[in-house]
Amino acid sequence: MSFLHPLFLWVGLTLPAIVALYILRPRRREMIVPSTLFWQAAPSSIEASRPWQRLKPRLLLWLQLLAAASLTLGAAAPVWYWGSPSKSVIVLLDASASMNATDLGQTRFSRALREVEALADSLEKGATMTVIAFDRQPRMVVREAADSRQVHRALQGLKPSCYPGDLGPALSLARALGRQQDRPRIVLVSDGGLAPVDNAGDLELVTVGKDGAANVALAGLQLRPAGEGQAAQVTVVNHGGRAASGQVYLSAGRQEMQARKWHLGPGESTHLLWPDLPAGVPVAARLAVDDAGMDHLALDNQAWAVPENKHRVRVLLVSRGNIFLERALGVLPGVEVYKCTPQEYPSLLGGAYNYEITVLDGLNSPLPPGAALFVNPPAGEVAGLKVGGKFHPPALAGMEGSAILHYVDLSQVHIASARDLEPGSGWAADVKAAGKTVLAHGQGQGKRLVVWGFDLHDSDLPLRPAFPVLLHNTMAWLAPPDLELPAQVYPGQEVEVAALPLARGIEVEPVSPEAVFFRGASLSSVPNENNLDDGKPGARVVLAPPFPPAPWIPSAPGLYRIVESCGDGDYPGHQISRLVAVNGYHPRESDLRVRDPRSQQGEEVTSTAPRPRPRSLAGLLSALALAVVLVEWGVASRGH
Amino acid sequence: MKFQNHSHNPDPAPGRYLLEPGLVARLEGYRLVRYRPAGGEPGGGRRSHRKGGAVEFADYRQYTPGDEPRRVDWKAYARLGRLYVKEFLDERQDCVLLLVDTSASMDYGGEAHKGRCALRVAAGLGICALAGHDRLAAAAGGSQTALLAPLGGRGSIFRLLQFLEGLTFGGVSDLAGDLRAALAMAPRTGSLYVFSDLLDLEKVEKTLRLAAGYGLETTLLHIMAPQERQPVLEGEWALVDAESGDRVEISVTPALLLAYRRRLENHMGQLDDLCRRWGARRVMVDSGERPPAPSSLP
Repeated sequence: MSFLHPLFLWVGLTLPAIVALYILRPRRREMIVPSTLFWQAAPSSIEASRPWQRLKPRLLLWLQLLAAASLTLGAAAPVWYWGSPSKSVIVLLDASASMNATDLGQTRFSRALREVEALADSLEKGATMTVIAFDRQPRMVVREAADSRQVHRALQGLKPSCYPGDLGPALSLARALGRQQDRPRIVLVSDGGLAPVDNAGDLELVTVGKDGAANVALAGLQLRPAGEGQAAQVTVVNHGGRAASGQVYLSAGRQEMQARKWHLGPGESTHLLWPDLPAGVPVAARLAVDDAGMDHLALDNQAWAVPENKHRVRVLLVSRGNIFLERALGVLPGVEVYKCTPQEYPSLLGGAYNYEITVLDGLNSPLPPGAALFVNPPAGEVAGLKVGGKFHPPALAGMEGSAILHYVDLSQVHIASARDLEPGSGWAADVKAAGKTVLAHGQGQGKRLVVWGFDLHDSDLPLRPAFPVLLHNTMAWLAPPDLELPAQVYPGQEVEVAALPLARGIEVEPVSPEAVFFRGASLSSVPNENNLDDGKPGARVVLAPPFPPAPWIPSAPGLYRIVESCGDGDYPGHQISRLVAVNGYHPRESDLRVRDPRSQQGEEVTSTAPRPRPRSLAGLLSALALAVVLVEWGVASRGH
Repeated sequence: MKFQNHSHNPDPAPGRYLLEPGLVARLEGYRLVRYRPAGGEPGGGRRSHRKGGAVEFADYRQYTPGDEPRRVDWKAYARLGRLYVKEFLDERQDCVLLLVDTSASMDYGGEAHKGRCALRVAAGLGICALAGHDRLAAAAGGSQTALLAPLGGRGSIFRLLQFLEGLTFGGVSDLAGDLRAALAMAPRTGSLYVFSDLLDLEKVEKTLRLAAGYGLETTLLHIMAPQERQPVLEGEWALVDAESGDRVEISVTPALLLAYRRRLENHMGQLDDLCRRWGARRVMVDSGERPPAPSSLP
C-alpha cells in the first residue's frame, strides 16, 4: 500500500490537536445561579485551577480521533494493489541505454537497483523474487529467490548496456514464468524509454529518473562526396526542456577541423556542415555542451562516419570462347575479368587462387574456392543441384522476389534448348519454363553458386536488355559489394556481415578505445549471466569460421574494423578490412523524459508511484470518517 | 425597596409598586380560604371548634344545671319530655403569618425575579387577610431576620406594603429560625404561608416540622424562575452558587439538561413527600407569569 498524495499526511496533526483540546481546560463564562444543586460536575473540575486537566478516556475523544485519522488517510489517498494474491514478484529491470543517464546524481540504473533491492527487502515470508534484466533481449538475473540476500548478490556488478530497450520479449518471458507460479506480481523498474507494448495493464511500474532530465545528442553524421573531397553533415538535437548551446568538434582522419557552435531551443535540432574534408578518411564528431546540466547522457555525444568502400571483384572466366560473356563482364563496374581455357583451369586451382568469382562456361567441376556461375553445365550434379537432360522450354516465368531477377524483363527472352535443373537443399529456382527450372541460385559447400541451365548461343538473351542486368545481378549476389553493411549501426543492432567469396575468416576489432565488442551469437554462453555488459573491450571477435558468419552485435558506440581474411598469405590483398561506425544515438533512448510504456501514447509519468491496478481507499476512508462523525454527533447529542 | 444585586435585577425599583392600586382595591374583596377551623382570638369571622353565640347551629346536648334556660329547646322537651340544649358554633379571628425567604438565591431571575414575585404574592395574600378581618404577621429571613408584628384591619395594608418594600435579598436562608422568631412574636398564628424556592430539603423539613408542632395550616409557595425550570444554556459555563459560592464547571449537553430536569423533578417529589408527611401544601409559582390584571378578576 502507498499514498498518492503523501503530503496530505500533515493533516494528521489534527490528532494531537484534538488530544490537546481535551487536555487544555476550556475558558468558561461565569454565571451566578440560585443553586448548583441540580448541576452535576466532576469534583476535579470544581477545584482545579490549572490550565490543563487530566486526559479522561471519553468515547467522544476516541470517535473524534478516529474521524480525524480517517480523514487524514483519506486525504493522502492510499492505494491498495489488488490482484496480487501471490506474494511472489517478477521484476523486469530496464538495463537499456537511457538507464546510463546521470540526472539523479547517480545513474538511473543504480537507482533502479536500489528499487529492486527495496522490493527484495520487503518480501514477505514465503515469497519469491525473480529478476529479469533486459535491454534488447531479456536476461535472467536471479530466479525465484526466497532470500533477499540472494537478490542482492545477484544484482552486484550489474551494469546497463548501450542497447535500446525492448520490453516485449522480457514481458513474454515474465508471463511464461508467471504461469509456473501462482499469479505473481510483475513489476517493471524503468525510466520508460521503451517502445509501448500492448496488454500491459497488469504490469506494475516503478519509474526512475527525473522527468525534466535534459539531453543534447549528436543524432547523425553523414558523409557525401563533394568535389575531390567529401562533406560531413552533423545533426544536433536538443531533447531538453530548456535552451542549450555548445560546440561540435570534428576530426577527419588525424586532422582536427574547426569547431562549430550551435544554439538550440527546447526540442529543436540543427544541421552543421563541413564542406571541405579530405576524401577517403573516417570522420569523428564530438559534442560539447556549455551547461553540463543540459546533458545527462554521454552515450550520444560522439558520432563516427566512414566513407563508402570501393572493392573491385576479380572474376575468372573459364570458357572455350564466349563473346557474350566476355563483353558483358568487361563492362560491369567494379569487376576485373580474367580469362582461361578449361585446360588451364585445373592448374590455376592448384596454385594461389585469388579469384572471388569463377564463371564456368560449359563445365560443372571442379568447384572453385570462391563463388561460381555455371553457364550451360553438362548433365550431372553441382553442389546439391542435379543437372538433367535438355528440353525445349516454352515461355519463361521468373520467380517473384528473386534477387537475381531485379529489373530483368524475360518477356522478350526465348531459349531454344535448356537443361532441366532440380534444385536441392539450399537452392532456389529463379526462372522456370513448363514447370522445369532453367535458372537457379543457392549455397553449397559454403559458397554462393548460380547456375544458368542453357547455352547463351541457343538463346536470344544476349541480344536483349535483360542480359547485362541479369549478369550484374548475378555478380552482385555472388560477391556482395562493401560487405552489405548498413549505413547506420547502433549498439545492440544485429549486423549481418556478408562473407566475401574467398573469405577464410572474419573478425571485428575496435579502432577507438571506447569500442566494446559483444558477439550476439554467443550471448547464452557468456559465463557471467548477470552482467549485461560482459563484452571484453579491445578484444577481437571472430564471426567466422564457421560459415555463414555469425551476426555481429556492437555493444558500444565507436569505430570498428571488420577484417576478412581471403585466400592464402601469398596473395598480397589477402585481408580486406572495412570500417564500420557505430553511433549511440537512438531517438527513444536519448529522450530522457520519463514515460509510461504501458500506454500506447507513451504518455509522460508524473508520479513515481507504482500503478498496478491500484484501488484507492480514499472513498472508503471518507465514508468511514462520515460514519464516525455521524456516530460522534449522536453520542454528543446524548451528552457522553 | 432596594435589591442587593442590581446587575441581576434589571428593574431598579421593583418594589415601587408591588401591586397596582386598582389591584389592591379588587383584592380587598377576596378572603383567604381556611380548610380547618380557626382557633384564634374571638370576634373574628372564622369558623371555630369552640361553641359560642354565633348563628350557625352545631349540635344538641342534654341539659345540665347551669345552662342558660334560653338555650333549651322547648319544642324538643314537648315532644320527648327531656331537656336538650342547642349549641351554636363560635366565630374566631385567624392569624396569618407570611414567611418570606429573602436569601440570595431568591435574588435571581431578571425579568422574572423570584424575590419580587414572592413579595407581590405575599402582598396580595396579606391584603386579602387584612380585608377579611384576620390578623396578619410577617417575617423575612436572609442575611438578617425582619419581623412585622400582627396587624388587623384594612388600615394596616399600608404598613404591610411598607414592610415588604423594605426587604432586601442576600445571605443564607434559615426558614426554621425565622419561623421560630415569628411565632414568638405572634403565638396565636393559625395559618402559615412560606414564600421560598425551597432548595434546601433539610431546612424545609425542619420548618414544616416546627409548623406542624404549632398546629399551623401551612402552605408552601414554591417560587421558581422559568430559567430554573427550563434552563436554556449552551456551551461551557462556570456556575457559581449564589449562597454557598460553590463553583461548578459544566459543558452543556442535551444529556446534562436531561439530567438536570430529572433531578429537579426528583427534588419536587421529595418536597411533596415532606408536605404529605407534615400536613402542608405546596403551590408552584412561576415567577415568569405576569400578575393578573385588575379587570380580569371577578
